[in-house]
Amino acid sequence: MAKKTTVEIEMEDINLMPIMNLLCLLIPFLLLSAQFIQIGIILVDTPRKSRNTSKQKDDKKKTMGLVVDITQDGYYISTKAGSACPDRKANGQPCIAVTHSGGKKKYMHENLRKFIYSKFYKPNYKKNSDPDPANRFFVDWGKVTIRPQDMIDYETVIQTLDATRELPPEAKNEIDGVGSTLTCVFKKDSGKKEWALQGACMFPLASLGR
Amino acid sequence: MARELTPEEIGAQKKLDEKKLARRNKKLEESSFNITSLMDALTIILIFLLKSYGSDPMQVPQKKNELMVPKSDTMSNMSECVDIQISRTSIVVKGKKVVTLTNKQISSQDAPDGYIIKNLKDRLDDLRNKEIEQKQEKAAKFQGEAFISADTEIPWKLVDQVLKTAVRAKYYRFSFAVVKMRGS
Repeated sequence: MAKKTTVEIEMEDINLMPIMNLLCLLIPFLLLSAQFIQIGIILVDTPRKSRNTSKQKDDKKKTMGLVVDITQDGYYISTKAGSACPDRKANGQPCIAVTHSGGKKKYMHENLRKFIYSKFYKPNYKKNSDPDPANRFFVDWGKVTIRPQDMIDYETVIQTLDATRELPPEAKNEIDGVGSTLTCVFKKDSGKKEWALQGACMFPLASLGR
Repeated sequence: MARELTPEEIGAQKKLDEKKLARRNKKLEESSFNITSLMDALTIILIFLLKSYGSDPMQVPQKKNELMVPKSDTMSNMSECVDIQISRTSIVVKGKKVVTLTNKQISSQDAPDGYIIKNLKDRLDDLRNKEIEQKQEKAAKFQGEAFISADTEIPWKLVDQVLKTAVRAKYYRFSFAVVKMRGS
């Protein structure tokens, strides 16, 4: 009769120390280089670029020509038809004046958003809602020119761009089909040259400067 | 002189020693910590960090009193292009410092006509030529886009000078870097 032999296999623990060493090196490196804030972008054109693209416009069509001037006193808003607040302009006052709190100047960008929405976007969006720009009432619908004075700080310019691009909260109930999130997104698919607009936008195509 | 121990006493002493030894061994066994749970935690941290690393095509360093980009409601994400950083002390293009600023302003030597920044234009011209060469190999077109990260307190004049210089170097479209307030 064959002798039955039993082989005892000793299970050794895996040595985790090299992996631990590697992890302990990788984690501080990644912690140092990781970015915990999310960086986004605001897309703008120079006036020269926007002039080039609007060359093909139909002369019979109307131009809105929305312009926001950022001055030390506040926001001056005008269109091709003239100042958006002629009475205030006649008195040398801006449409939306700056306020002072704690010795610091504050630009009322939320008021600017509401003003542009109620004065220019809400009365005109139905006439300009066609996805094909050729069928819209204003040839330059969605475009705005922002003209900051030299000493205006960069943060104020960014806040102004936000105010002209994003719809105010009341648009959820007043504008059809804007959705509940009210977001305006520029998207560029890989390999594509042009950016595409998605979501609910007010005047997202901004050009800066004179 | 010490008294000789009786056999009972020797037996009791031996038992006591054995007990002590057993207790010491038990302590030693307990002190060898379990590394597996630590490994699990480290692996989770590593995965989280790897996920947050390199999701954006370009990095924007946030340095206090130097370069803090403003916050915004935007939800748009960046795409890769020429990267210009305007901090309180310098202008950096694709990692290379081109201009030093004094009091957040360009000196008249750097911008003789008051607007076009000479060193910046030279650097952008170089980058444009390189990009055009690369794109010709791939049969693609030069897009003329620049990504600008500027500090919140920079006066508009400086940003305008950079934009005008970039336009002169045939970059016409700009994306301003901002910190997203609403998440992705």
